[in-house]
Amino acid sequence: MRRLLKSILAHTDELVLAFIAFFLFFVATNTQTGWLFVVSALIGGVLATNWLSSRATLKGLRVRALDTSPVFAGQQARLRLELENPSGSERRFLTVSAGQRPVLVSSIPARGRVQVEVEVDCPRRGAFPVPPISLYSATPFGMFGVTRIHHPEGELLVYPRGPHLDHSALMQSAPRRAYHQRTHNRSGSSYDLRRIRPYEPGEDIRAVHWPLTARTGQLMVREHQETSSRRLNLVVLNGSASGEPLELAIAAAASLVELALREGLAVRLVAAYQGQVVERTGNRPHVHYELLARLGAEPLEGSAILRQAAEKAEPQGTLLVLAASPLGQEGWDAARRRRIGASVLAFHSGPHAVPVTVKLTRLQPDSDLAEVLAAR
Amino acid sequence: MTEHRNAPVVDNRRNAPVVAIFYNWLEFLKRQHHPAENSLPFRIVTALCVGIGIVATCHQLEWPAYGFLTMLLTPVGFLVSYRLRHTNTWLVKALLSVGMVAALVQFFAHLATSTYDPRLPLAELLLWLQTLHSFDLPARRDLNYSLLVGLILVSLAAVLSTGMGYVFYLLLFCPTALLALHYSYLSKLGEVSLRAPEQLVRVSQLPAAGLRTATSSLGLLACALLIFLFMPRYEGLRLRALPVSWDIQFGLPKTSQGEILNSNGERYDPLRPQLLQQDNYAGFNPVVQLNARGALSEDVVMSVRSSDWTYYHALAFDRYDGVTWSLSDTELQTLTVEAPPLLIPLEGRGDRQIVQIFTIERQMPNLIFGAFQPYQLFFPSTEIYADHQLSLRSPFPLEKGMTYSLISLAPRVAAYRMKKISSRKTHPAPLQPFLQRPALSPRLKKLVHELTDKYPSDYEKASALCLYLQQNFRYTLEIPPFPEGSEMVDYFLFEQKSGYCEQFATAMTVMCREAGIPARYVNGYLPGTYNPFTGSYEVKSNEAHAWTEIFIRTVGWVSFDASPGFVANPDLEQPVRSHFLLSTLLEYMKSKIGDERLRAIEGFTGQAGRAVQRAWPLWVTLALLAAAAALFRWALKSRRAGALGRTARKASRLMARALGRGPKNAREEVLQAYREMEDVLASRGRLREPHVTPRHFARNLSDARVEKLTQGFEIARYSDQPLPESLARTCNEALEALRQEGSSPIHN
Repeated sequence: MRRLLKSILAHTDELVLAFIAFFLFFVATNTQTGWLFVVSALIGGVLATNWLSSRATLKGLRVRALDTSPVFAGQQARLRLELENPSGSERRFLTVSAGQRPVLVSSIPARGRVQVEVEVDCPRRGAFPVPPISLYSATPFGMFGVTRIHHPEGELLVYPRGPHLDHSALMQSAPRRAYHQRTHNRSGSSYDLRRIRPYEPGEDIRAVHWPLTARTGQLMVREHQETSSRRLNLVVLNGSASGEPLELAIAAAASLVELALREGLAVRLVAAYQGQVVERTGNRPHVHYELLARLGAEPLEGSAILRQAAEKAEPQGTLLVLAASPLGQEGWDAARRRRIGASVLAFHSGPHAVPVTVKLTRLQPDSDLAEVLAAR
Repeated sequence: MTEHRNAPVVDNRRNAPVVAIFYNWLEFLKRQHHPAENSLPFRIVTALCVGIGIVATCHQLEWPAYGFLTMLLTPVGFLVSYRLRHTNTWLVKALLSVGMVAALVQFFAHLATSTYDPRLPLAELLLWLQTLHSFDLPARRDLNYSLLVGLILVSLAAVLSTGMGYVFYLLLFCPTALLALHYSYLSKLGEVSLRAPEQLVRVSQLPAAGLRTATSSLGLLACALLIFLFMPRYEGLRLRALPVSWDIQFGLPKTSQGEILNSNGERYDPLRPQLLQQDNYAGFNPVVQLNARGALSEDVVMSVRSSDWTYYHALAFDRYDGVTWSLSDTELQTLTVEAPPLLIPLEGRGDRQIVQIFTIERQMPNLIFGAFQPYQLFFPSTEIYADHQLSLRSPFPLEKGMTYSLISLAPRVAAYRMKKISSRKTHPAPLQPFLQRPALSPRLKKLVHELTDKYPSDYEKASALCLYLQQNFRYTLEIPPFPEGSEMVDYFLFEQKSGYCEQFATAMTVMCREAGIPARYVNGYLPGTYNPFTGSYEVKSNEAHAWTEIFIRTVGWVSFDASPGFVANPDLEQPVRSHFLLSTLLEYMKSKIGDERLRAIEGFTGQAGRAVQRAWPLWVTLALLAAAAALFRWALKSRRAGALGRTARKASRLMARALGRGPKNAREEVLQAYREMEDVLASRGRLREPHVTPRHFARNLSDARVEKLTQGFEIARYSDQPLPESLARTCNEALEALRQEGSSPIHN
């Protein structure tokens, strides 16, 4: 009943015209006014033409997603679409939308294509298929509007976005030693200079090589040999986690990645993905954000992730563990064997969990994993 | 002090209910309801539509003075509305409301004085309302209302129109209204997509938009024509707004006290020989000379909107002297009335109402035509005259443009009932004049008795005579005058054996009288040709006709038309008018293009029809295939199709695969299954919003099948490994289960 009412309200114009057509037909029948039959038939013709035309406008159109640039959660993605009209007749006046404000397409030429950009709200991180694209038309008279849903191939990446962290937070959360070493290297030792390369957004301005910048006219930065060893080892224990703990862990990881890269640290990110433990390294943020966007619950124990992360970590290194699922004994043992230090930020509930509201300042950098857990 | 100044002022006057309503009304007017419409072309085209509606209505109302005022004020109103579209014109709205109330009051006042035709006050009211409304059209919605009023005005003009001249306005209105509708749609699109309407609707784009509209119009006309042709047409004039040119009585001089004036306004001169002039039928005189010869024109003399197909009486004659018909009693009865309708005393039975509206197309005699017998007359005169045969006459000739309406009452009888009413040997005195005849020849008497003696009832006797005349004599207008001194009927039946309606009607009447049946000679007009556009029967000058009426006990006067090719019993055998317009239109075209061309068309269509008939197995096969395709499509889409739906979907998948359009591997199959699942869920009101990941979506639904499909989707979407066929099978099974399960939590 509600659907019927909704449908009636959506087609008020058509109903009014149909009512007038029937009324005129009734009057014509009872007064033998032939012209009223004509007017009534013309109104019927308008309705029928519009019904057919609006459907014909959308018939056979193809929609392709051309460009799906990743965005951060909370932003609006701008999705570039290509509309193809394979038919021999021009299509006019339709709208394209992906759930947000529709975009008007005035014309698609016969056997031609047009490109449009639609907006998509992306409140949450994730790797999404391109959302259903709805094409709407009520050409030519605005009645019997019809919507056709298309599912173009493509993927829309929405990066996680955590709270903004400042320098002091990193000081407390990142391995202190690595940070100090990095600052030492920044002071000007020439032996560890690896190469000079173009500046990338987000890099520390202090690394800029000004003489070369002046010569080339392009912002150039120094890349040091030991940068790879001075890095933030982030481990996301996504295991069987899901829901809020996982999202919080990923948001925290995103914040840390962003901050670390801003501070000039390299980042090594380890997490479970598609049933395997994978890692992303480097100082390009999108590499890490992409993995974080794709993370979900995995059929892997937290201990297995931690074990593999510890095995691949440099000796004496420190891990920052963002635990959305329990750590497990096996992972601890591996960390202990390799004398890997770890800071744990637990977001899951249950045994060995810290409250999800724990602040980064309460982390204990460089502490042994066992000590952290013993302290719990 | 400050607090006091900021405190809300409580106006006690607003507590009074009437004042409160007034204040609320003002508040309502002050609110800006919809965004202003900036598109100038849309306004111009809408104004044109309304203008066409106003002019069309004024034309049909014969250009009233207030019509010119509305024609002048409406464009001004549109201009003012455009100028003030961004301004809150609450004062203008208030004034317009007052004006509209005044127009309504005037409408009721007019309605009280002209109850016989409420269309005229209604037209006036609509014109004023539209004129006032044109001063307040800030938004698109207001313009759309104006468009609707334009349509109503054009429809009103259609009701008022009687001729084909209306088509001119319709041809103007249709493309303009379509263009306005198109612009309205563009304006709406601009609003939803945040595009300024000016970008979409520009004056420079008017020709292109016009061309597009014209292209759309062709399709529209095709649709409209189809609807028009197959629109059911039922006869009936149930809405009793019977028009009459009441004002005409004040302009026309009364030139007759009941005596018949011909279409030239001249009285009958017995010394002048009668001739069938082109537009002046000699039979519409007190005396009908059967020796008159000539041909009448094809000009339309009147159009009649009638609830039934019927012959229109003018005069009925009782006295026959062998050469002429005349009235034995020339005394007239004067009937007077203050305002229509005029009630005419009823004689005999009358249980079938026939409503007719006559519009005179050219000047005619002062005879009031109508189906027999007249009962209520809406005529533009305070007095009319009636003879003893209930033939009605006006005090002035019928002028071109005059409109009058007549409700007649005819007996509702069936042939089998009349066959049971046996003949009487003697008849009462009032019927004796209808048995009068001159001395007839023995061979004529013998013929009559041979034809009729075997039948017991008058109806059967008359039918036998009518059949005999229709089957054995030829209808032609080209006959020489009868020889001096010969009795016309005898000469016609035994010597000439051909003639036109007057000879047939005379022969039939005289033969009936000889058979002992009271009969009279009647002339008037045939029903005419039905014009499917105007809804009127168009009666031509050459459709003046003569026929016979016999008196049957307990029934009354019953018509017989003995002319070959005409309906023998017009009261009983009305030609079956199709309920669809197509055949009516063909009949109308037949009357316009002539029989020979029609025969050629019929020959062609006949051949085509036979070819179509011969190919019936093809049509049956096509129809079955179409039905199967429709069933297949329904099974494919409907979730109530059960096993049939499953089979259809499997078949569809197989067909798609065979055509190379379906999923090529397990991965694509799983992805397609997921999309189909989304469609199924969307059709049940569970649309996956763009920002919801498949996983979150599945979790929110808590459905095992959705969960299974989502897992499959994630693997297919993100895994690099080849997918097992079993996964695709599982996903398809889950999808099928989801389709079939109507009572799942998702569905609820």
